[in-house]
Amino acid sequence: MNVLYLDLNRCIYCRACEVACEREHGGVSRIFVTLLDWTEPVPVACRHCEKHPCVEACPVDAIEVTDEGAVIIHTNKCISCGLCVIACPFGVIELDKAGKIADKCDLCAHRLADGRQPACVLTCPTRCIQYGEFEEIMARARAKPGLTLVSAVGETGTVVTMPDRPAGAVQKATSGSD
Amino acid sequence: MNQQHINWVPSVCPFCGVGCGFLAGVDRGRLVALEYLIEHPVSEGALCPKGNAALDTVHHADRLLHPLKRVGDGFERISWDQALQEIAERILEIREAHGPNALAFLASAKCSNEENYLMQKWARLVGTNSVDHCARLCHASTVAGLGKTLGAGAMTNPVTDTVNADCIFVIGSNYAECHPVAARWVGDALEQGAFLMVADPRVTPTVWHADLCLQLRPGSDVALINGMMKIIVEAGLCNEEFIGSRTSGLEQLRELLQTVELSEVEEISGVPADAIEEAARHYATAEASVIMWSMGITQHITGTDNVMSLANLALITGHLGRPGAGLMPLRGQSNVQGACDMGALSNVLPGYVAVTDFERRRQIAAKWGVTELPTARGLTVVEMMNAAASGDLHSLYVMGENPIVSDPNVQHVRQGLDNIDLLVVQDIFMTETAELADYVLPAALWAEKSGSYTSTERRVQWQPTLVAPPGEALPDWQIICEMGRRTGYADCFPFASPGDILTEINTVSPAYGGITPERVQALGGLIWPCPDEDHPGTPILHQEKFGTEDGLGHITPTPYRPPAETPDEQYPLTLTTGRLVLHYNSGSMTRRTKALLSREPRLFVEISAADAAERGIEDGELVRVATCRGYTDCVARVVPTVAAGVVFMPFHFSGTNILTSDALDPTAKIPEYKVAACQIEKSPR
Amino acid sequence: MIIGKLKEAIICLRAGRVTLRYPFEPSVVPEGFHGQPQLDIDKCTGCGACSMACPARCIEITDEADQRTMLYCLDRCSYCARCQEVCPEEAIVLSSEFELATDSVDDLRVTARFDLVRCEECGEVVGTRREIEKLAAEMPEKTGISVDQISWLQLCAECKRKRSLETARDLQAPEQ
Ligand code: SF4
Ligand code: SF4
Ligand code: SF4
Ligand code: SF4
Ligand code: SF4
Repeated sequence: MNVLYLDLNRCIYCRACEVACEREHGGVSRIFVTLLDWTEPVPVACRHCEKHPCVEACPVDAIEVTDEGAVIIHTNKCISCGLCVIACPFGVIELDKAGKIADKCDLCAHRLADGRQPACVLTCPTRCIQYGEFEEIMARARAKPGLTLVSAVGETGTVVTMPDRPAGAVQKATSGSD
Repeated sequence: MNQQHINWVPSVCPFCGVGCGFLAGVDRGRLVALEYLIEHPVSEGALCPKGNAALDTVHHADRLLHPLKRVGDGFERISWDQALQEIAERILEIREAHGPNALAFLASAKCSNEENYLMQKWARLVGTNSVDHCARLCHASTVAGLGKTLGAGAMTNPVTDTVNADCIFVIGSNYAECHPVAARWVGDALEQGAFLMVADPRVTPTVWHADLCLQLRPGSDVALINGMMKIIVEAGLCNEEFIGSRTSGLEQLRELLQTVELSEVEEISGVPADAIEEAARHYATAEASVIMWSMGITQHITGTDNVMSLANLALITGHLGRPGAGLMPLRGQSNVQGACDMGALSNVLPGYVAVTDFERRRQIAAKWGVTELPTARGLTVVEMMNAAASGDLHSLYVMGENPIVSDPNVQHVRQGLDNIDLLVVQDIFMTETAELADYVLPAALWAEKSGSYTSTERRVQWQPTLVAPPGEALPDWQIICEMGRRTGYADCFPFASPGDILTEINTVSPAYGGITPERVQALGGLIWPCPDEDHPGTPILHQEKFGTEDGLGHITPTPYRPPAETPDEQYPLTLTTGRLVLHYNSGSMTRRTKALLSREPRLFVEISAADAAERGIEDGELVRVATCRGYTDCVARVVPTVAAGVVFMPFHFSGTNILTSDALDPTAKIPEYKVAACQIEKSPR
Repeated sequence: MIIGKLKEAIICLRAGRVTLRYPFEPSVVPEGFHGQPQLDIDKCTGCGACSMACPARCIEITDEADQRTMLYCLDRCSYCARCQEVCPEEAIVLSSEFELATDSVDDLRVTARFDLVRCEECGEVVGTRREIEKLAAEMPEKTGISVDQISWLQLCAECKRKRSLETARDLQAPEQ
């Protein structure tokens, strides 16, 4: 099974991933980079959770888990009830502007279908977003010292490592001044 | 979209100097899609947000379509023939009446090597060295400072070579925002255990990843670097062997360092002595150290001094001429390196031949089929605006630049441009500067013409033509050729294609000797110096000897000088300016791109909580920022990332450069964008 | 010709009466008839799917303070049954009711009110209390996530993203 890997430690908040995802998906990005305290960027896309609350919440079974482990929404089945939006722990599903259709990261299914990696993976200047075999990704993530590893809901899905910084960038800098 | 019809063409990102590549998808004469070019040697497919949005400006509805002539307050459409003829005649009239130095030309770091080459050739044939471009405003001090110390004003090692460094010293560069793909390679180095230290007045995204942060005061760079060198010299951490065999001038440096007091450095820079010591030791003792800088170093009245002190630091520690060891000035625009190489600067001809160098100037003249070229150094960008205001400059021909947004102290620039007899602007959009012009000529953009572009790492890459220009727009090289012919130099502009022009460049500029139209088209191009057709290119400079006449690196001591403006009672804050990842230069392209503008829609000023509280300013409030040159209204962002006393504004929106100072570095004539004394209050509006 | 007319008359009389004595006796509608939509307020969670589906835009939703108001303007209804098709709770059904003539349009309007839950962090609307209670009740069993691990149901999408790292940590805690 292939998964996304987000190595938050390398993110520079450039938002190339957002612009790329938006370009690939008709003007709406399904990855969101949030900046915490002006210094901590958190890119968030669907974790493709093993225990996927969104799938369970959907009353019309519009959300499906593919054989490759991707959790995708069949937008033609969506009845715009918004329950998946509430159910997702990470806030990565949103209804479109008109409030009609829920959509989220589908791991760029149309790209994977013709052998191309997801757009956000290829565009990310810092290799912050990667895509690969789950076990291999886990090995890569475990090999990074000083990073906390968190995953999706359940055992499989997107792997995330994040900095384990005792003090944020601002503290580091100001301790170096005056 | 039917992908089958699409023709995928490798292209070069038209924005910053990193020179990333991508595949542009062309379908029936339109650019319809973009795909990542994984084989590209620098970017490996990666693109920052600007690169991702590169196609959005191509078929934009605002493009200029026809030549325009001013009538009263508006413009009237005219034919190309009329436009070219009238402009040529007026240029000749002005030269007749006021001499060639009443003419000036602005080339462009966004245009190809071929176009910049033609622009400076035309200017010099017409009789003036007053041809310059925005490199003057960004890295002129790098060119001057490195030229003097190392003999080549360019990045010594490629961006990708950063992975080989053990210590990366970043000063006055926010590469994470300004050259995002460079962050890929620094990130790789960090994962291999490299030490990253960043000196910056702000906590930028570059600082987030640093092991050591030196939050220095704007304009105190020379003091900081001299302090580091004092520690290195006194602790015996110099590379004696390197100094002995490859440099000159250490003694003078020792003398200067004797007068440097660390306590003073601490006071001037605001960086504690132990942090300076840690930085010095890391830099000197690492196996291979690299220094990266950008406009935080160059845009000061001490810009050249700043660059020379960095060169000194590298020379005394021997961190040059090896993988992972070098000096990396990260250049801002897709072809700013190339425009400099082509001699689109008022003091040098192609190949950095000084205009005052009799022998070599004559050689170039001979190749152009004339006996002599103008000998006096011409006007630089800011000097042009001054000369325009004082009435000494009568004509300005602008190719793809937007001085009214990008130059410092723009109110003064506006006075100058209002005063000028003939202002011609050749651009892709009706820019703020074009609105003041007498003639506006519609140009083709990167995708609508072919040509070579030189990235920050001296990599010369070819951009093929992808689509036809809209309306009557023409490639800049064709327009300049035609202007050259119509001003009486038909024989000097025989070119039928950009390839023909590059062939002439091969003979005029030795470093480009082997960069022929055929070879340059390979993916990733070639890195100059590439003197002949069999040469593979030179990724790392100065491996055996330096480019100076004696082949030695010239250690050039530089004492600290304070910035031109220091805060006072009336203007107690220090304003510094810089870039945002989502925008580019004067914004004429990125502010027309929805994906970028929607994420960063308006001008703001970053201010510390302490300074904001003192003034009763809340986050998100409209404030007025004022310097002695004028004021501008924008939104306040109360952030923890600037120190008290310092405020920051991005320069991509009209307004910022009303405030900035046009005080110049005496050598490189670069203005001090990075330091202006200012005051901030709630906006009265 | 006259004979032809007579024949017609005979045929008609033979058939007897085919219409109902309506309104003196009730009219029975066939199965699947699309009459006036009927809302079962006890079942409805206020999710608004019907409102999005309705082509005649009969169903207006307004969120004010802590209350969601759903106004069914059935005077505009085109009896297409899209609302019935989408309603996940089977709370809206097209009834057999068709006798809708009235001199007051208010008779054709139905209002339903729901408590709203707003984001704990920023005050943005998250959903109705019923929706969230329903999800909270079903989620542990359906997903295997324990009740005390579910901390995000009262947050809007943006605030959930801001807190995503803590959430991920919390969700992992018991296994480590
Ligand atoms: S992250 Fe959210 S949307 Fe994605 S699978 Fe998990 S619950 Fe569903
Ligand atoms: S909004 Fe659409 S996808 Fe989400 S739960 Fe409702 S029907 Fe399913
Ligand atoms: S994988 Fe594709 S859909 Fe998912 S966030 Fe990345 S670009 Fe968007
Ligand atoms: S592209 Fe990569 S570095 Fe940039 S914001 Fe997205 S995850 Fe972060
Ligand atoms: S880093 Fe520079 S060259 Fe690369 S995509 Fe961004 S703007 Fe273009």
